[in-house]
This record gives sequence, C-alpha cells and structure tokens, in this order.
Amino acid sequence: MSAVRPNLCPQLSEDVVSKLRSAGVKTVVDLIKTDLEGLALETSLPYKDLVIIRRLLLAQFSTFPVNCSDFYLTTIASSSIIPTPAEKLNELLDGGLYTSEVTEIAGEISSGKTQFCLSLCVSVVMKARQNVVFIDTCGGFSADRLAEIAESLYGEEHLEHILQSVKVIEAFDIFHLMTALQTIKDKMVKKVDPFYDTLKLLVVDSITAVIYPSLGGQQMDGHGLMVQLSLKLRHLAADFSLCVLVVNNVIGDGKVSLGKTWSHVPHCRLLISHPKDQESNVRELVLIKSSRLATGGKTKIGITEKGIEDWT
Amino acid sequence: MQSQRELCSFPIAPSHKSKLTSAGFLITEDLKHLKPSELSKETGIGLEECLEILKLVCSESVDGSKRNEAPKPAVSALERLKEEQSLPPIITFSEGLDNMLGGGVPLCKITEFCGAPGVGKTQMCMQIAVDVQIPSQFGGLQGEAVYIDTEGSFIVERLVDIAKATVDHCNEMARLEGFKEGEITVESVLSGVHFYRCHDYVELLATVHLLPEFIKKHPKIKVVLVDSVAFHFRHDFDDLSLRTRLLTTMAQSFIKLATEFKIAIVLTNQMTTKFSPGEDSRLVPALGESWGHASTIRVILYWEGQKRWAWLYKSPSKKESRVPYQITMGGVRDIVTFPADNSNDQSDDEPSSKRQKVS
Repeated sequence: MSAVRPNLCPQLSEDVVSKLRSAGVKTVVDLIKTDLEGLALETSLPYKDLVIIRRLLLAQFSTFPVNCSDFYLTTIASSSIIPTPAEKLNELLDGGLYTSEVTEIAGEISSGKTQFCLSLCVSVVMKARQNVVFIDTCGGFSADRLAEIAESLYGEEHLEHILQSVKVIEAFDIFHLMTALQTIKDKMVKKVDPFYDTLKLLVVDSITAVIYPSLGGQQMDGHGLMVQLSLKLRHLAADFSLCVLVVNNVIGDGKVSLGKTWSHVPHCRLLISHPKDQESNVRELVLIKSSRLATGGKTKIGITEKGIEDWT
Repeated sequence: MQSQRELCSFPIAPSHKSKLTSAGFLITEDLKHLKPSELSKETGIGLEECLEILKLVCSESVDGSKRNEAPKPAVSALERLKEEQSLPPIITFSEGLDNMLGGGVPLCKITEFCGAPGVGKTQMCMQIAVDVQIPSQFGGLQGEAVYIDTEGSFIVERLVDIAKATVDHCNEMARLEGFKEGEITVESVLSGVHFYRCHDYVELLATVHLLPEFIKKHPKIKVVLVDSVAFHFRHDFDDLSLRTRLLTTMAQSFIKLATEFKIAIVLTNQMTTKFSPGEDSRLVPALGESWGHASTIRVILYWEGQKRWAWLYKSPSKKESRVPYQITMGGVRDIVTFPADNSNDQSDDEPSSKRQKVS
C-alpha cells in the first residue's frame, strides 16, 4: 500500500494527482475502492484514463503466482542449516537452525539463553564460515565470554577472526531496534559493506527487554509496535535467507513472555531450563514449537568454558 | 536504492501516526521532498509537529547514524573485547567476591545485590561508593559516586567509617610504594558521593530521568548506586502490569546510562517468600521474575550459620559460584580461614591486613 504519487505510473501526472487528492483519493487503496464513474464526474478526468491507471496500479501492487517446483528449487539453493555446537541438539532440530526462519530461545533468569547465543555465534563463524550481527538490548553481551568460548574451542590463532566476524549493535528501546534492523537491511541491499554479504545469523538478545516497557495498559501502541517488529524480523529472515535468533523470557511456571500474539512469530521455539535434580551447569532444551518437526523432543546440554555442548 | 521504512516504526505520537496513515503517508519515501507546510495542510497536524516529524524521518533515511539519538553503529566483538578490557572494574575489598565477579563490579553493566535484611546490602553499596574513589596510582578509578537511597537506610557516619579505613589503607600503600600520601582523604571521599533521597517511586523515576544531565555535569561519576530498587515498588501498587512497565522502562534507562557514560550501575533488591505447591517455601529476590531479567549480573547475599555468603546467580561471563565474606568496622572484607599466604601480590593481601588492623 502506498500513497498516490506523481510518476507512479505514466498517466499519473502532477495535475491528475492533485485532482484525485482534492476528491479525497489519497492512497492506492482509495483509488481501487472508489467508484470510477463517480470519480470521473467529480474530478472531470476521462473515465478511460482512470481505468488505465487503476489497471496499471493493480498490476504494479499485486503479487504473482510462483510455480512451486521453481519455488522449491530456489528454497533449496538459498537456504542452509546452521549447526549448533551440540550434536544431540542438532538431531532434535533436524540439523540445526534453519535460515529464513525465526528461532526463539526462551528461558528463566540465568538459564543460559545468552550462553546459547554466544556459542552459536562461534559455531556460525567457524563451521559455516559466515558472519553474525548480535543486537544487544539489555547489556548481556560479553565479548570476554565470547573470546573464552572461541579460544577454548579453536585456539588463539582463530580468535581474532572469530571476534571480527561478530558485530555488536546496542539498542535499548524498540525504536532504536527498528532503526538497527533497517540499517542492516539497507546495508544488505546496497552491498557496500562486504561484512553483510556473508551475514547469516542475526541475534536479538533479548526481544522482551524492548517490548515490555510499552506493552499493556491503556495504550494500544505497544502492541502495534510489537507486531511491526515481528514483521520486520520475519521479512529480514525471508528476504535475505537469514537465520534470526531471538531471546525471550519465561516467567512463572514455564510461561513464555509476550503472550499469544508473539507466540505466532517464531517458526521454532526452544525452551531452556535447569532441571532441579541436575548439576548446576546442566540445562534441558525442549522443542515446543516447530513448523517441520514433532514437538516435545528434549535433550540435555552442559554449559562449560567451551560454551554449550552435549551432556551425557 | 534505499529500502523503505514504514512510518509507524518511528517514534511518532500515536495520534499523529493515525493522521499520517489516513492521509496516505505510509513509508519514508512518501515524506521525501515535502515541506512542513505541505505536510501540515495534507494531514491537519500542527506546523511545528510536522517539522519535527520531517526532521526525524528524513535525517534517518539519509544515514541512520547521523541523528543524535540513533543507536551506535555496529562494532566488531574484537573492538568490544578491547573496550571491555580497557575498563577497570570497581574492587570491593573482598578478593573472593572480586574474583567471582571477574575483578570487581564491572562498568557498563547492571549489577544487582539481593538479600534479606541485615545481610549487608547497604554496606556493600557504601563500600563501592568509597572504593570507586581510590586514586589511579593504587589501581582505582578515581571516580565519584551517585548514591540513591530509597529506604532511608543510608547512615553517613557508617560511610565515614568505611572511608577512614580505605584512606588509611591507601596511605599505608602509599608509604610502602613511596607515593605521595594524602591523595585521598575522608573529606574528599565524602564530597565525591552525590546523595539523593527518594521518598516514593515517582521521585525515583524522575531522578533516573535526570541522571544523564547530572552525569554530564559531573564527568567523574563512575557508579550509580540505588539502595534499594525494590522498596517503593513493593507497596501501593494495584496495577501490576503498570509496575512491570515502569520497572522494565527503568531497567532500560539504567542500561542506557551504563553504556553511554561507561559507568557501573549497582542496585540492591529485597527478598520475598515464594510458595509453590508441593515444595517448601523459599526466599527469592523481590519484584517478580520479569524484573530478574533486567540486571546483567545478579548476586544473592545470604546467611549460612554465622557466615555471610555471596552467590553469583546470574552473569553472562562468569560461572555460578559462592564465596563467604564478612562485614567489619572497615567495610566488606574476605574471611580468612587459614593463615593468609604472603604472596608478593600487594593488593591481594592488603584487605586482610587491613581487616586485622581495624577489628
């Protein structure tokens, strides 16, 4: 949807646009909705011209059917699977995290959500040879810890490369986060920065921290912003074959924050928790939402100086 | 080609957003090359507001980093590591606690101390308020502190005690190292603590909002302490969702403050009893679980028998662990259970020798 502007199509000259505007037709949708005969009389524009404009605009703003076999081939060509550092977790996720999807990891306080993200950053750089953007919304990013994971897994010679392949953006409110996402999109479209050509993983840690302050109460604006943000994340994932990983909170007894509307956003949702009868560095991961796999599967991981790994 | 951004993702007032939408202005492209007067005529929004909107949208669409309030550009983790390493943490005078936290209370992060009454939260805050002022030749930050007291538990005589012990300690070190004495005095320590007393949550929120201006005027400030963040939020709140919103907004202002000015934020929190069916009731930090995600580092202080323990419960960079500590006349110190091995590391055995002298 867009405003009716001059030069949107050849017939739409400045003059025509101003006549349409004075008749109350301001957006393309307005033009499609209105009765053209009435509009022709009101604006004294030729009926024929209006029909042509409408037809052109409809063609311009509609979407086209795609042959599923072609679609399948492009999907196969453009998508990839990012393996996590834990083998059993990869089995649970059918290989790892998928690109073009939004994956969510939700957990209670100090359940290891940030550790999962940091571990995955290292894994993407070293195993998939791709880059990472880490958007930090609550000060949880620790370069020190990232370096520790990278060094204990791959040694000092790769440390610099790994750290340079991860970029960090700080955004502490929802508008800054939107601006940051827009900047990433612009950079990927323009292809001026080689870093963004091989960007594969986008981490937002955490999404709750920026949405919570505006959610609830009498203002409906917060809810709208949340939906807007979810659209942006999903578009980024789909348009650029990115793997988007968002962190969410769990409050109370396993209830994931942000409510029902948000629960439709991630394609895949993992719950991370600390089983009470286990050692302090053991975590259990449960797949509670997936568009491809049976849900309910679980696996155990351990958090060590090497980040996350299988727990046996 | 510049990709399009929807106008509703900008910080524009909701009433203006709806006016823009109904007038057909939906993406940044729609507002390009438009004069405020034209926009005002089309939408019915006041002229000055239109100018504001155009400034906001157009400067952003040219280059995201040009605006003052735009987020900082992306930096690589390598630069972040160098930055993290260049910022010295604030020591607490308890070596065990410092080691657990990775050298002390870190800058650019929110550290939360939770604990039952009397376990030493306020003492910890006062200790940090003093320690942040240790001159740089002794490895300190030579900074100043903002102390926000909500409970009325700040006792200035106690701060004098801690300051005295710290000054004595520094002078002793100066003698040993051959530095000039008197770099730090009790008077200088006291004048380096900016004290706020907040009587209700509105005052607290207002203070937090005004802090950026205050810190700009006092660039030496390296730590903001709030003792306690919980007090005013634990009573007289009928609307719990409002409480959550206020708390999370405050948390985001704190982390913004911490990273913008590269200062440490130290909060204290009370404990509350949690009942869950089939289990014994237990003590958990107050303010609910959504608040728990707000702090970067959470340390729980508790008693076990006659000993005080600090338990690192949450940290993005350090493992969960526990250390005992004690509170002496001179402030927060290690408990020395075995004869302190006299390693040649000066700063390490200093706290214990200090403790012996004072107590």
